[in-house]
Amino acid sequence: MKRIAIIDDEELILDSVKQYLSRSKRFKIDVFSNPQEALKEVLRAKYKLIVLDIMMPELNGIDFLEKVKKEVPQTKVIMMTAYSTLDKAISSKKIGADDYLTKPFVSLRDVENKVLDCLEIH
Amino acid sequence: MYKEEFIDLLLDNSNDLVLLFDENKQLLLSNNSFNKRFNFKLLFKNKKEIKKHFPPKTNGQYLNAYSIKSWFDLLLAKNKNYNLILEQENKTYEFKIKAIKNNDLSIVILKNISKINSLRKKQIRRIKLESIGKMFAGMSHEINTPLTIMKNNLELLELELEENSSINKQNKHHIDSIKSSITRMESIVRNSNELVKKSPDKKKSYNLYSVLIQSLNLFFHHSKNHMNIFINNKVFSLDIKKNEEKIFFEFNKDKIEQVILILLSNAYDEFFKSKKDLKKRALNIFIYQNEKGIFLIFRDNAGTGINEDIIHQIFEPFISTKDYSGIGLGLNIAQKIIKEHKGNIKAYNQKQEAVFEIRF
Repeated sequence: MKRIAIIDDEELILDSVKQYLSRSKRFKIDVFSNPQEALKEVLRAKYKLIVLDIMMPELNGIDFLEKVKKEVPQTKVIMMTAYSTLDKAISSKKIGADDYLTKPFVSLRDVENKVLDCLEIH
Repeated sequence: MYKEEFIDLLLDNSNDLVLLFDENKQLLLSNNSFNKRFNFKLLFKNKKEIKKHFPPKTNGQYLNAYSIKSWFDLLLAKNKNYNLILEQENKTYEFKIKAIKNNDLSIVILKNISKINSLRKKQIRRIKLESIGKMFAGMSHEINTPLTIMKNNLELLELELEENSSINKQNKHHIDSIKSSITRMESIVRNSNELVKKSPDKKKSYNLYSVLIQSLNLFFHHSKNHMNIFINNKVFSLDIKKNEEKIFFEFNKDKIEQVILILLSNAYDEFFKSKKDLKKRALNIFIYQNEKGIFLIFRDNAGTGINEDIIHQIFEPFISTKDYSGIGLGLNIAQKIIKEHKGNIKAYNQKQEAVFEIRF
Protein backbone atom coordinates (compact mmCIF):
# COMPACT_ATOMS: atom_id res chain seq x y z
CA MET A 1 0.00 0.00 0.00
CA LYS A 2 1.33 3.43 -0.98
CA ARG A 3 1.48 5.99 1.79
CA ILE A 4 -0.19 9.25 1.01
CA ALA A 5 -0.94 12.35 3.06
CA ILE A 6 -3.79 14.79 2.54
CA ILE A 7 -3.35 18.25 4.01
CA ASP A 8 -6.19 20.76 4.25
CA ASP A 9 -7.40 22.94 7.09
CA GLU A 10 -10.99 21.85 6.37
CA GLU A 11 -11.61 18.59 8.21
CA LEU A 12 -14.80 17.78 6.35
CA ILE A 13 -12.93 17.88 3.05
CA LEU A 14 -10.22 15.63 4.51
CA ASP A 15 -12.87 13.17 5.71
CA SER A 16 -14.63 12.86 2.38
CA VAL A 17 -11.46 12.55 0.30
CA LYS A 18 -9.99 10.00 2.71
CA GLN A 19 -13.18 8.00 2.71
CA TYR A 20 -13.29 7.83 -1.07
CA LEU A 21 -9.62 7.03 -1.57
CA SER A 22 -9.73 4.32 1.12
CA ARG A 23 -12.32 2.38 -0.86
CA SER A 24 -9.79 0.83 -3.24
CA LYS A 25 -7.56 -0.29 -0.33
CA ARG A 26 -4.55 0.74 -2.42
CA PHE A 27 -3.38 3.51 -0.12
CA LYS A 28 -2.49 4.07 3.46
CA ILE A 29 -3.83 7.54 4.07
CA ASP A 30 -2.92 10.10 6.74
CA VAL A 31 -4.80 13.36 6.97
CA PHE A 32 -3.67 16.62 8.56
CA SER A 33 -5.63 19.78 9.24
CA ASN A 34 -2.65 21.56 10.80
CA PRO A 35 -0.02 22.38 8.15
CA GLN A 36 2.84 22.82 10.65
CA GLU A 37 2.30 19.37 12.11
CA ALA A 38 1.82 17.99 8.63
CA LEU A 39 5.16 19.40 7.46
CA LYS A 40 7.05 17.75 10.33
CA GLU A 41 5.44 14.44 9.52
CA VAL A 42 5.91 14.74 5.75
CA LEU A 43 9.62 15.47 6.18
CA ARG A 44 10.00 12.55 8.57
CA ALA A 45 7.85 9.81 7.11
CA LYS A 46 8.33 8.71 3.54
CA TYR A 47 5.15 9.54 1.70
CA LYS A 48 4.86 8.62 -1.96
CA LEU A 49 2.41 11.44 -2.50
CA ILE A 50 0.87 14.37 -0.72
CA VAL A 51 -2.32 16.16 -1.67
CA LEU A 52 -1.90 19.72 -0.46
CA ASP A 53 -4.25 22.67 -0.16
CA ILE A 54 -2.87 26.07 -1.15
CA MET A 55 -4.84 28.40 1.12
CA MET A 56 -4.06 27.40 4.68
CA PRO A 57 -3.47 29.48 7.79
CA GLU A 58 0.01 29.68 9.34
CA LEU A 59 1.76 27.91 6.49
CA ASN A 60 0.51 28.24 2.96
CA GLY A 61 0.68 25.44 0.43
CA ILE A 62 3.29 27.12 -1.77
CA ASP A 63 5.83 27.51 1.08
CA PHE A 64 4.98 23.98 2.17
CA LEU A 65 5.64 22.69 -1.35
CA GLU A 66 9.02 24.47 -1.54
CA LYS A 67 10.15 22.83 1.70
CA VAL A 68 8.97 19.40 0.55
CA LYS A 69 10.70 19.69 -2.82
CA LYS A 70 13.92 20.78 -1.09
CA GLU A 71 13.98 18.11 1.64
CA VAL A 72 12.17 15.13 0.14
CA PRO A 73 12.13 15.78 -3.64
CA GLN A 74 11.00 12.25 -4.47
CA THR A 75 7.61 12.89 -2.83
CA LYS A 76 4.97 13.64 -5.45
CA VAL A 77 2.69 16.59 -4.76
CA ILE A 78 -0.80 17.39 -6.00
CA MET A 79 -1.96 20.90 -5.13
CA MET A 80 -5.59 21.70 -4.32
CA THR A 81 -7.01 25.11 -4.93
CA ALA A 82 -10.22 27.03 -5.38
CA TYR A 83 -10.78 28.47 -8.83
CA SER A 84 -9.95 31.98 -7.57
CA THR A 85 -6.35 30.94 -6.87
CA LEU A 86 -5.95 28.73 -9.92
CA ASP A 87 -3.01 30.82 -11.14
CA LYS A 88 -1.14 29.91 -7.94
CA ALA A 89 -1.74 26.22 -8.57
CA ILE A 90 -0.49 26.49 -12.11
CA SER A 91 2.60 28.43 -11.10
CA SER A 92 3.23 25.88 -8.35
CA LYS A 93 4.07 23.44 -11.14
CA LYS A 94 7.17 25.53 -11.78
CA ILE A 95 8.42 24.81 -8.27
CA GLY A 96 7.84 21.12 -8.57
CA ALA A 97 4.16 20.33 -8.05
CA ASP A 98 3.19 17.32 -10.13
CA ASP A 99 -0.45 18.19 -10.71
CA TYR A 100 -3.30 20.26 -9.33
CA LEU A 101 -6.98 19.90 -8.51
CA THR A 102 -9.54 22.68 -8.43
CA LYS A 103 -12.16 22.84 -5.70
CA PRO A 104 -14.98 21.93 -5.90
CA PHE A 105 -13.52 18.80 -7.53
CA VAL A 106 -15.01 17.58 -10.79
CA SER A 107 -15.68 14.43 -8.75
CA LEU A 108 -13.95 12.34 -6.11
CA ARG A 109 -13.33 9.82 -8.85
CA ASP A 110 -11.36 12.52 -10.65
CA VAL A 111 -9.28 13.05 -7.49
CA GLU A 112 -8.55 9.33 -7.37
CA ASN A 113 -7.62 9.29 -11.06
CA LYS A 114 -5.12 12.10 -10.56
CA VAL A 115 -3.61 10.31 -7.57
CA LEU A 116 -3.29 7.10 -9.59
CA ASP A 117 -1.76 8.95 -12.56
CA CYS A 118 0.70 10.69 -10.32
CA LEU A 119 1.77 7.43 -8.72
CA GLU A 120 1.79 5.80 -12.16
CA ILE A 121 -0.63 3.10 -11.03
CA HIS A 122 -2.81 1.90 -13.87
CA MET B 1 4.20 92.64 -36.62
CA TYR B 2 6.60 90.20 -35.11
CA LYS B 3 4.41 89.96 -32.03
CA GLU B 4 1.26 89.22 -34.06
CA GLU B 5 3.00 86.48 -36.02
CA PHE B 6 4.26 85.05 -32.82
CA ILE B 7 0.77 85.02 -31.29
CA ASP B 8 -0.73 83.51 -34.47
CA LEU B 9 1.85 80.77 -34.43
CA LEU B 10 1.20 80.01 -30.81
CA LEU B 11 -2.56 79.97 -31.17
CA ASP B 12 -2.64 77.94 -34.35
CA ASN B 13 -0.56 75.24 -32.80
CA SER B 14 -2.74 74.96 -29.77
CA ASN B 15 -5.14 72.05 -29.39
CA ASP B 16 -7.42 74.29 -27.38
CA LEU B 17 -10.02 76.35 -29.19
CA VAL B 18 -9.16 80.02 -28.79
CA LEU B 19 -11.04 83.23 -29.60
CA LEU B 20 -9.83 86.78 -29.18
CA PHE B 21 -12.20 89.74 -28.83
CA ASP B 22 -11.47 93.44 -28.85
CA GLU B 23 -12.86 95.93 -26.36
CA ASN B 24 -16.02 96.29 -28.50
CA LYS B 25 -16.55 92.56 -28.26
CA GLN B 26 -15.80 92.18 -31.93
CA LEU B 27 -14.12 88.95 -32.81
CA LEU B 28 -10.50 89.58 -33.68
CA LEU B 29 -9.41 86.07 -34.45
CA SER B 30 -10.14 82.43 -33.99
CA ASN B 31 -7.40 79.86 -34.10
CA ASN B 32 -7.11 76.78 -36.36
CA SER B 33 -8.55 74.40 -33.77
CA PHE B 34 -11.67 76.52 -33.42
CA ASN B 35 -12.11 76.95 -37.16
CA LYS B 36 -11.75 73.23 -37.70
CA ARG B 37 -14.17 72.27 -34.95
CA PHE B 38 -16.92 74.74 -35.88
CA ASN B 39 -16.29 74.90 -39.59
CA PHE B 40 -15.94 78.57 -38.88
CA LYS B 41 -15.08 79.82 -42.33
CA LEU B 42 -18.27 78.38 -43.71
CA LEU B 43 -20.11 80.02 -40.91
CA PHE B 44 -19.71 83.40 -42.45
CA LYS B 45 -20.09 82.23 -46.00
CA ASN B 46 -23.30 80.34 -45.98
CA LYS B 47 -26.22 80.83 -43.67
CA LYS B 48 -27.53 77.29 -44.26
CA GLU B 49 -24.24 75.90 -43.09
CA ILE B 50 -24.53 78.03 -40.00
CA LYS B 51 -27.85 76.45 -39.19
CA LYS B 52 -26.34 73.02 -39.62
CA HIS B 53 -23.79 73.61 -36.92
CA PHE B 54 -25.58 76.07 -34.71
CA PRO B 55 -27.31 76.44 -32.42
CA PRO B 56 -25.51 73.82 -30.38
CA LYS B 57 -27.27 72.95 -27.20
CA THR B 58 -25.33 74.38 -24.31
CA ASN B 59 -26.10 74.05 -20.60
CA GLY B 60 -29.73 74.82 -21.14
CA GLN B 61 -28.91 77.81 -23.32
CA TYR B 62 -29.09 77.97 -27.08
CA LEU B 63 -26.48 79.59 -29.17
CA ASN B 64 -28.00 81.62 -31.93
CA ALA B 65 -25.99 81.65 -35.11
CA TYR B 66 -26.60 85.34 -35.60
CA SER B 67 -25.75 86.32 -32.10
CA ILE B 68 -22.41 84.68 -31.68
CA LYS B 69 -21.29 87.96 -30.19
CA SER B 70 -23.89 87.85 -27.48
CA TRP B 71 -23.02 84.24 -26.75
CA PHE B 72 -19.46 85.21 -26.11
CA ASP B 73 -20.73 88.19 -24.18
CA LEU B 74 -22.30 85.66 -21.92
CA LEU B 75 -19.09 83.68 -21.70
CA LEU B 76 -17.13 86.77 -20.88
CA ALA B 77 -19.69 87.95 -18.38
CA LYS B 78 -19.32 84.72 -16.47
CA ASN B 79 -15.63 85.45 -16.24
CA LYS B 80 -15.03 82.09 -14.65
CA ASN B 81 -14.65 78.49 -15.67
CA TYR B 82 -17.60 76.48 -16.71
CA ASN B 83 -18.38 73.57 -18.97
CA LEU B 84 -20.15 73.53 -22.27
CA ILE B 85 -21.78 70.41 -23.61
CA LEU B 86 -22.02 70.55 -27.36
CA GLU B 87 -23.97 68.14 -29.48
CA GLN B 88 -22.73 68.09 -33.01
CA GLU B 89 -23.38 65.48 -35.70
CA ASN B 90 -24.71 62.99 -33.14
CA LYS B 91 -21.57 63.26 -31.05
CA THR B 92 -21.28 64.93 -27.70
CA TYR B 93 -18.31 67.12 -26.93
CA GLU B 94 -17.54 68.61 -23.61
CA PHE B 95 -15.51 71.79 -23.28
CA LYS B 96 -14.14 73.52 -20.30
CA ILE B 97 -14.48 77.21 -21.00
CA LYS B 98 -12.17 79.80 -19.63
CA ALA B 99 -12.86 83.44 -20.32
CA ILE B 100 -10.31 86.06 -19.45
CA LYS B 101 -11.29 89.70 -19.70
CA ASN B 102 -8.83 92.51 -19.93
CA ASN B 103 -9.35 96.17 -20.63
CA ASP B 104 -8.96 96.01 -24.35
CA LEU B 105 -8.77 92.30 -25.05
CA SER B 106 -10.77 89.26 -24.09
CA ILE B 107 -9.72 85.69 -24.59
CA VAL B 108 -12.04 82.71 -24.60
CA ILE B 109 -10.42 79.30 -24.42
CA LEU B 110 -12.45 76.16 -25.02
CA LYS B 111 -10.59 73.11 -23.83
CA ASN B 112 -11.93 69.85 -25.18
CA ILE B 113 -12.29 67.61 -22.15
CA SER B 114 -14.50 64.94 -23.76
CA LYS B 115 -11.65 62.44 -23.89
CA ILE B 116 -10.43 63.22 -20.38
CA ASN B 117 -13.95 62.85 -19.03
CA SER B 118 -14.62 59.61 -20.82
CA LEU B 119 -11.26 58.27 -19.58
CA ARG B 120 -12.10 59.37 -16.06
CA LYS B 121 -15.51 57.72 -16.24
CA LYS B 122 -13.92 54.53 -17.57
CA GLN B 123 -11.37 54.59 -14.77
CA ILE B 124 -14.04 55.03 -12.10
CA ARG B 125 -16.01 52.19 -13.61
CA ARG B 126 -12.95 49.96 -13.70
CA ILE B 127 -12.17 50.71 -10.05
CA LYS B 128 -15.78 50.01 -9.08
CA LEU B 129 -15.77 46.72 -10.96
CA GLU B 130 -12.45 45.72 -9.48
CA SER B 131 -13.62 46.39 -5.93
CA ILE B 132 -16.84 44.48 -6.43
CA GLY B 133 -14.91 41.71 -8.13
CA LYS B 134 -12.46 41.48 -5.25
CA MET B 135 -15.32 41.28 -2.80
CA PHE B 136 -16.94 38.51 -4.85
CA ALA B 137 -13.65 36.66 -5.16
CA GLY B 138 -13.24 36.69 -1.38
CA MET B 139 -16.79 35.53 -0.89
CA SER B 140 -16.53 32.88 -3.56
CA HIS B 141 -13.51 31.37 -1.87
CA GLU B 142 -15.53 31.05 1.30
CA ILE B 143 -18.43 29.47 -0.60
CA ASN B 144 -16.18 27.02 -2.43
CA THR B 145 -15.27 25.12 0.72
CA PRO B 146 -18.84 24.18 1.75
CA LEU B 147 -19.62 23.51 -1.94
CA THR B 148 -16.72 21.05 -2.11
CA ILE B 149 -17.94 19.34 1.05
CA MET B 150 -21.51 19.12 -0.28
CA LYS B 151 -20.38 17.77 -3.63
CA ASN B 152 -17.99 15.20 -2.15
CA ASN B 153 -20.53 13.90 0.34
CA LEU B 154 -23.25 13.70 -2.25
CA GLU B 155 -20.97 11.59 -4.41
CA LEU B 156 -20.21 9.32 -1.43
CA LEU B 157 -23.89 9.06 -0.57
CA GLU B 158 -24.80 8.08 -4.13
CA LEU B 159 -22.04 5.49 -4.19
CA GLU B 160 -23.15 3.98 -0.88
CA LEU B 161 -26.74 3.77 -2.01
CA GLU B 162 -25.70 2.16 -5.29
CA GLU B 163 -23.47 -0.33 -3.53
CA ASN B 164 -26.26 -1.33 -1.17
CA SER B 165 -28.58 -1.57 -4.18
CA SER B 166 -30.95 0.60 -2.22
CA ILE B 167 -31.09 3.48 -4.65
CA ASN B 168 -34.42 3.96 -6.38
CA LYS B 169 -35.60 6.27 -9.13
CA GLN B 170 -36.88 8.83 -6.70
CA ASN B 171 -33.58 8.96 -4.78
CA LYS B 172 -31.71 9.29 -8.05
CA HIS B 173 -33.95 12.19 -9.02
CA HIS B 174 -33.27 13.99 -5.71
CA ILE B 175 -29.54 13.44 -6.07
CA ASP B 176 -29.54 14.73 -9.65
CA SER B 177 -31.45 17.82 -8.60
CA ILE B 178 -28.93 18.59 -5.87
CA LYS B 179 -26.09 17.93 -8.31
CA SER B 180 -27.42 20.33 -10.89
CA SER B 181 -27.99 22.99 -8.23
CA ILE B 182 -24.42 22.58 -7.05
CA THR B 183 -23.24 22.93 -10.66
CA ARG B 184 -25.24 26.13 -10.91
CA MET B 185 -23.69 27.49 -7.72
CA GLU B 186 -20.24 26.57 -8.98
CA SER B 187 -20.93 28.49 -12.15
CA ILE B 188 -22.03 31.57 -10.16
CA VAL B 189 -18.88 31.42 -8.08
CA ARG B 190 -16.71 31.03 -11.17
CA ASN B 191 -18.45 33.92 -12.89
CA SER B 192 -17.75 36.23 -9.99
CA ASN B 193 -14.07 35.40 -10.27
CA GLU B 194 -14.01 36.29 -13.94
CA LEU B 195 -14.48 39.91 -12.97
CA VAL B 196 -11.10 40.26 -11.40
CA LYS B 197 -8.80 37.86 -13.04
CA LYS B 198 -7.76 36.47 -16.30
CA SER B 199 -7.82 32.75 -15.97
CA PRO B 200 -5.02 30.95 -17.72
CA ASP B 201 -5.43 30.48 -21.40
CA LYS B 202 -5.92 26.80 -22.08
CA LYS B 203 -7.03 26.81 -25.70
CA LYS B 204 -7.08 23.43 -27.39
CA SER B 205 -8.99 21.96 -30.28
CA TYR B 206 -12.43 20.78 -29.09
CA ASN B 207 -15.73 19.91 -30.68
CA LEU B 208 -18.08 22.80 -29.88
CA TYR B 209 -21.06 20.52 -30.45
CA SER B 210 -19.82 18.07 -27.75
CA VAL B 211 -19.23 20.91 -25.30
CA LEU B 212 -22.76 22.17 -25.92
CA ILE B 213 -24.28 18.72 -25.38
CA GLN B 214 -22.26 18.19 -22.19
CA SER B 215 -23.45 21.53 -20.81
CA LEU B 216 -27.04 20.68 -21.73
CA ASN B 217 -26.73 17.31 -19.99
CA LEU B 218 -25.67 19.09 -16.82
CA PHE B 219 -28.49 21.57 -17.11
CA PHE B 220 -31.28 19.28 -18.22
CA HIS B 221 -32.50 18.08 -14.79
CA HIS B 222 -32.75 21.64 -13.74
CA SER B 223 -34.61 22.90 -16.78
CA LYS B 224 -36.80 20.10 -18.07
CA ASN B 225 -39.89 21.17 -16.14
CA HIS B 226 -39.65 24.73 -17.35
CA MET B 227 -38.64 24.65 -20.98
CA ASN B 228 -38.23 22.51 -24.08
CA ILE B 229 -34.84 22.63 -25.69
CA PHE B 230 -34.26 22.09 -29.40
CA ILE B 231 -30.92 21.76 -31.11
CA ASN B 232 -30.97 22.52 -34.82
CA ASN B 233 -34.75 21.93 -34.65
CA LYS B 234 -34.40 18.50 -32.97
CA VAL B 235 -35.76 17.98 -29.46
CA PHE B 236 -32.92 17.70 -26.97
CA SER B 237 -32.82 14.60 -24.80
CA LEU B 238 -30.11 12.91 -22.76
CA ASP B 239 -29.78 10.33 -25.55
CA ILE B 240 -28.28 12.76 -28.04
CA LYS B 241 -24.74 11.67 -28.85
CA LYS B 242 -22.19 14.35 -28.19
CA ASN B 243 -20.22 13.56 -31.32
CA GLU B 244 -23.22 13.50 -33.62
CA GLU B 245 -21.89 16.64 -35.23
CA LYS B 246 -18.34 17.86 -35.49
CA ILE B 247 -17.42 21.52 -35.20
CA PHE B 248 -13.79 21.56 -34.15
CA PHE B 249 -11.73 24.66 -33.43
CA GLU B 250 -9.38 25.93 -30.74
CA PHE B 251 -11.03 27.32 -27.62
CA ASN B 252 -10.90 27.28 -23.86
CA LYS B 253 -13.40 24.57 -22.97
CA ASP B 254 -14.10 25.74 -19.41
CA LYS B 255 -14.81 29.26 -20.54
CA ILE B 256 -17.04 28.39 -23.47
CA GLU B 257 -18.94 26.02 -21.18
CA GLN B 258 -19.38 28.95 -18.86
CA VAL B 259 -20.82 31.11 -21.67
CA ILE B 260 -23.25 28.33 -22.61
CA LEU B 261 -24.33 27.98 -18.96
CA ILE B 262 -24.85 31.74 -18.70
CA LEU B 263 -27.11 31.76 -21.77
CA LEU B 264 -28.97 28.64 -20.59
CA SER B 265 -29.48 30.11 -17.10
CA ASN B 266 -30.76 33.38 -18.56
CA ALA B 267 -33.25 31.55 -20.76
CA TYR B 268 -34.27 29.39 -17.79
CA ASP B 269 -34.88 32.48 -15.64
CA GLU B 270 -37.07 33.99 -18.35
CA PHE B 271 -39.10 30.78 -18.67
CA PHE B 272 -39.33 30.51 -14.91
CA LYS B 273 -41.36 33.73 -14.75
CA SER B 274 -43.24 33.02 -18.01
CA LYS B 275 -46.89 32.04 -17.81
CA LYS B 276 -46.74 30.21 -21.11
CA ASP B 277 -47.91 26.63 -21.35
CA LEU B 278 -44.92 24.28 -21.04
CA LYS B 279 -45.74 22.66 -24.39
CA LYS B 280 -45.32 25.99 -26.16
CA ARG B 281 -42.07 26.95 -24.46
CA ALA B 282 -39.04 26.58 -26.69
CA LEU B 283 -35.39 27.38 -26.39
CA ASN B 284 -34.04 26.88 -29.88
CA ILE B 285 -30.32 26.40 -30.13
CA PHE B 286 -28.68 26.50 -33.52
CA ILE B 287 -25.12 25.38 -34.00
CA TYR B 288 -23.53 25.35 -37.43
CA GLN B 289 -20.57 26.33 -39.48
CA ASN B 290 -20.54 28.11 -42.84
CA GLU B 291 -18.24 30.38 -44.86
CA LYS B 292 -19.03 33.27 -42.47
CA GLY B 293 -17.84 31.38 -39.41
CA ILE B 294 -19.03 29.16 -36.59
CA PHE B 295 -22.40 30.11 -35.15
CA LEU B 296 -24.02 29.30 -31.84
CA ILE B 297 -27.45 30.88 -31.51
CA PHE B 298 -29.89 30.79 -28.58
CA ARG B 299 -33.45 31.88 -29.32
CA ASP B 300 -36.17 31.70 -26.68
CA ASN B 301 -39.87 32.48 -26.75
CA ALA B 302 -40.21 33.02 -22.98
CA GLY B 303 -41.49 36.57 -23.29
CA THR B 304 -41.86 38.98 -26.15
CA GLY B 305 -38.18 39.45 -26.72
CA ILE B 306 -35.54 41.52 -24.97
CA ASN B 307 -36.75 44.79 -23.47
CA GLU B 308 -35.99 47.47 -26.09
CA ASP B 309 -35.02 49.93 -23.34
CA ILE B 310 -31.98 47.91 -22.34
CA ILE B 311 -31.16 45.92 -25.47
CA HIS B 312 -28.43 48.37 -26.55
CA GLN B 313 -26.66 48.07 -23.22
CA ILE B 314 -27.44 44.47 -22.36
CA PHE B 315 -23.77 43.47 -22.31
CA GLU B 316 -22.90 46.25 -19.86
CA PRO B 317 -22.30 45.07 -16.28
CA PHE B 318 -25.15 45.43 -13.77
CA ILE B 319 -27.82 45.55 -16.44
CA SER B 320 -30.47 43.02 -15.50
CA THR B 321 -34.07 42.31 -16.36
CA LYS B 322 -34.45 40.10 -13.33
CA ASP B 323 -36.05 41.74 -10.38
CA TYR B 324 -35.80 38.71 -8.14
CA SER B 325 -32.38 37.33 -8.95
CA GLY B 326 -29.23 38.08 -10.82
CA ILE B 327 -27.03 41.11 -10.67
CA GLY B 328 -26.48 41.58 -14.36
CA LEU B 329 -22.97 40.24 -14.78
CA GLY B 330 -23.56 37.09 -16.81
CA LEU B 331 -23.76 38.61 -20.27
CA ASN B 332 -20.89 40.96 -19.54
CA ILE B 333 -18.72 37.97 -18.64
CA ALA B 334 -19.97 36.05 -21.66
CA GLN B 335 -19.02 38.94 -23.92
CA LYS B 336 -15.59 39.18 -22.30
CA ILE B 337 -14.97 35.47 -22.91
CA ILE B 338 -16.20 35.58 -26.51
CA LYS B 339 -13.96 38.60 -27.20
CA GLU B 340 -11.01 36.67 -25.75
CA HIS B 341 -11.77 34.09 -28.43
CA LYS B 342 -11.83 36.82 -31.08
CA GLY B 343 -15.53 36.13 -31.57
CA ASN B 344 -18.58 38.29 -31.42
CA ILE B 345 -21.81 38.08 -29.42
CA LYS B 346 -24.90 40.10 -30.17
CA ALA B 347 -28.43 40.32 -28.83
CA TYR B 348 -31.50 41.10 -30.88
CA ASN B 349 -35.19 40.29 -31.19
CA GLN B 350 -36.65 38.21 -33.96
CA LYS B 351 -40.40 37.72 -34.25
CA GLN B 352 -40.79 38.69 -30.58
CA GLU B 353 -38.22 36.13 -29.50
CA ALA B 354 -34.95 36.97 -27.74
CA VAL B 355 -31.88 35.97 -29.72
CA PHE B 356 -28.29 35.73 -28.58
CA GLU B 357 -25.94 35.04 -31.43
CA ILE B 358 -22.32 34.04 -31.03
CA ARG B 359 -20.02 33.93 -34.00
CA PHE B 360 -16.46 32.64 -33.96
